Amino acid sequence: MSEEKLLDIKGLKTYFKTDEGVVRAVDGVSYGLKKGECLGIVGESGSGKSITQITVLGLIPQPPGFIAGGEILFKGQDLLKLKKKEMRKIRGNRISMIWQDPMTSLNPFLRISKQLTEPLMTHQGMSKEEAREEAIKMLEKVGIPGPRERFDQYPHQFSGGMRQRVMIAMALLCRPELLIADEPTTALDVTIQAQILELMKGLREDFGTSVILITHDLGVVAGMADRIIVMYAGRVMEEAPSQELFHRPSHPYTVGLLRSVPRLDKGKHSRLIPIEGRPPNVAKPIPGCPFADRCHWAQDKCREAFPEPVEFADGHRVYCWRAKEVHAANLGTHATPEHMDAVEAKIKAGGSIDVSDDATV
Amino acid sequence: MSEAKPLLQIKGLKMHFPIYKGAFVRREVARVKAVDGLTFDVLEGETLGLVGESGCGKSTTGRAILQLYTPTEGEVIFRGEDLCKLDKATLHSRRKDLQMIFQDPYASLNPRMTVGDIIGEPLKVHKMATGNALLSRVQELMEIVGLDPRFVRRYPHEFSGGQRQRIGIARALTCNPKFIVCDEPISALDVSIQAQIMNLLEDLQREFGLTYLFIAHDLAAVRHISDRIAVMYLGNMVELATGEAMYDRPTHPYTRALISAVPIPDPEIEATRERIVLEGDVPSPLNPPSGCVFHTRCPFAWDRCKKECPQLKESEPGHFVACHLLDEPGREGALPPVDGNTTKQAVSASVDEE
Repeated sequence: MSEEKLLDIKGLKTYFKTDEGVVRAVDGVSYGLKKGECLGIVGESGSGKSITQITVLGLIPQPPGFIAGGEILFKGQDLLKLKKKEMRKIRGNRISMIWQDPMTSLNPFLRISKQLTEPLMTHQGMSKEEAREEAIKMLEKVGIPGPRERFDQYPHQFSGGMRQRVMIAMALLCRPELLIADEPTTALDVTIQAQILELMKGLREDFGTSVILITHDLGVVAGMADRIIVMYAGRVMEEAPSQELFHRPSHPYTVGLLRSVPRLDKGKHSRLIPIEGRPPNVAKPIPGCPFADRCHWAQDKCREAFPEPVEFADGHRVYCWRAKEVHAANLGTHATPEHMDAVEAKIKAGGSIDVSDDATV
Repeated sequence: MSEAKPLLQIKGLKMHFPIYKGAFVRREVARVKAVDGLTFDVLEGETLGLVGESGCGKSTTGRAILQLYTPTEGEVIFRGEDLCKLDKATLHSRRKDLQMIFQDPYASLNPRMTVGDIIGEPLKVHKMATGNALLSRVQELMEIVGLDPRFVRRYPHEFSGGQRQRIGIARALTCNPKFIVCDEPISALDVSIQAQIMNLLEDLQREFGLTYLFIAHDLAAVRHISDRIAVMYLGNMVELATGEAMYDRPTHPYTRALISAVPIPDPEIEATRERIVLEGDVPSPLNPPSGCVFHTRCPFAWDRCKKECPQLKESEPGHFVACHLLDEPGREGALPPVDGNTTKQAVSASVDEE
C-alpha cells in the first residue's frame, strides 16, 4: 500500500456549460492508480468514466468544458497545471490511449505506416527508418500477420479486430507508463474480444504498463482488473479490489448492478432484478447522493449531502451513508437470491442491518 | 417441451443478396450468402435464441422469416401456409400475427409521429379500430408496457432509450401477434435498463402466450431469456439445443469457443476459466470457405471438413450439431478445455456419450 502512486486524481470536477445549465459530468472524483496495476472503471453511459480520463489526457474541449477544481497528479506532477506544449510531450508518449471505436479513431486517409511512425519520430526523435523498423516489430507483437506486407496499407484494409490491434500497437509504441483503454472491446465480437483481452494481458506482463480499463461490462473487468472503481452520475460510488467488489459489494448501486446483469453460468430461472428508474439529469445540481432516488436504502440524509467515504480493509472505499450496513448484509455474488430478497424486503420496510453482527450467508 | 407443437417451420431458408456490375448490361458478379440453408422449427410458446457474431446472418434470418426480405429459396410454414408463396394481400393480413421489435429505439420510431400514432398505426392499417376504441387500446398498451398513458401525445424524442424500446414493444403488441422477432432489443440500452426490458419481455410472453425469436450477440442475455438456443456462423446454423445443454455440453468447436469467450462477472470464476481463443477473423460471406464454413478457424479441421458441408445431426435428443466430429469423435484427441465451472467435466462426459 505504501507504493508510490503513478496517477492520483483528487477531487476532480469537469463541468460543461450547456443551454440547459452546467452539466456536472465529473463531480468531485478521487482515485489513484499504483504502478503496474490494472484499474477497471465501470459505470453506465453518462457516469463520467470516460470524461475523467479525457481530462487526464488534457483533451476536454474548453469551452464548453472547464475544470472546476481538483488535481491530477502524474508521478507527483499536476497535469492540470502544465502548459499545452508540456502536455503534448506526455500525451501519446508517457500516457497513451486506446479508443473505443477502431473504425473512427484511425485516420482513413493515411497509411498505417504514417500513423505508426509519427509518434516515434515526434516523441523519441527516431529517424524514419528506425521508426519503421520499431513500428513493424510492434505490429508483430500485437499479432498482425505479415506486418511488413501490411505496413503500407490503409485502415479500411484491416478488419475490426485487426484495427484494434493497430490501435494497441500505436498506443504502446513509445512504451507508455500509463495506458488508458476506453471500452477497447465494445465494438468487437466476443471471439475477437477474447483475442484482444488476451493480447492486452500478455502485453501488460511484457511491458509492465499500468492500465486503466474503462468499460460497462462487469465481465470484462472481472477477468482483467486488479482493482475496480464504480462510477455513477459523475461520482465514484465504490472502490475495491476486484474479488472484494464482487463478493462483498458495499454500495447499493454496485449490488443493484450485479443483480441486474444476466450471467452465462446462471440458468433461465434466475430472474433479473433491475434497478428501477433511470439515472438523474446531471445538468441540475444534486446536493445529496445521485443514486438516492433509485435506492431502497435511501434515507433523508442521503438526499441532503454526499457522504464521506467509508473505509474497509484493503483500500475498499465506499461512498454511502449506510455502507457499513450494506457491507454487513453480505450481498455479493456468493449470496443466495433468498438472502438478498430477505435483506431487500427488510430494508424496504424501513429496517436496518445490525452492523456488529457480521452476517454470514 | 417435447409436446410443444411447432408454430413456425423453416425449411432450407436461403437469403442471397446479388451484387451487380455493369452500367448497360447488368450482370450478377457475386452473391453475398447471408443465410445459406437453414432448417429449424420454432415451437409454440417458446423463446428461441439466435446468437452469432456480426455478419453471421442472424438478423437477416429474422427478417426473411417475416418476409421483410423475399427469401431466395426455402419455405417458412406458419399455420400450414408457406409465407413465401402467399400473394401480397394475403401476406398483408398474416402480418398481424408476425411482428418485430427492432434494435435501435432511436432509428426505428418516426420522429414526426406521436407515440399514440406510432402504437395505433397497426390498428389503422389492419382496420381493427378507429376513434375512441383506438385511443383506449393505445392507452391500454402503454399501460401494459409500463408507460404513462398520459404521454400519448408526446413525441419519441421526449423519451429515454429504455422508454422508446417500450414504445417499440407496444407497437409490436398492438395486433395481438402470435410470434415476435426481437432483433437485438436490448443491445442499445444501458445495463440497468436491459434487465427492465428483458423482464418486461418475459412478463408479456407469460401473459399473452407469445413466441419469440430472440436475436442477440450477447450470449449471456440469450441464455437468460431463451428456452432453446441456435448458434449461427456465416449463414449456417452450427448448433441448436436447450440453453442448459448448450452451456453444459457445447459440442460444435465454434460454440465451445464462443461460450468460453464470454466473460463472467465473477473474478473467482474468471481466474480459473480456460479460454479457447479462435485464430483469425470471420471469412467474407461473399466467398465463404468450401465444405464446413468454420474449417478455416477450427482447431480440429481435417480434409473432410474442407470438402463436405456437415448437416445438422442429433447428438442427443433435441441437441442438433452440424459437425463432422460427431461421426469421428476420436479426432478430437486432447480436447482443449472448455470454460465454465462445470464444463470441463461436462465435456469429457459428452465425449463418453459419443
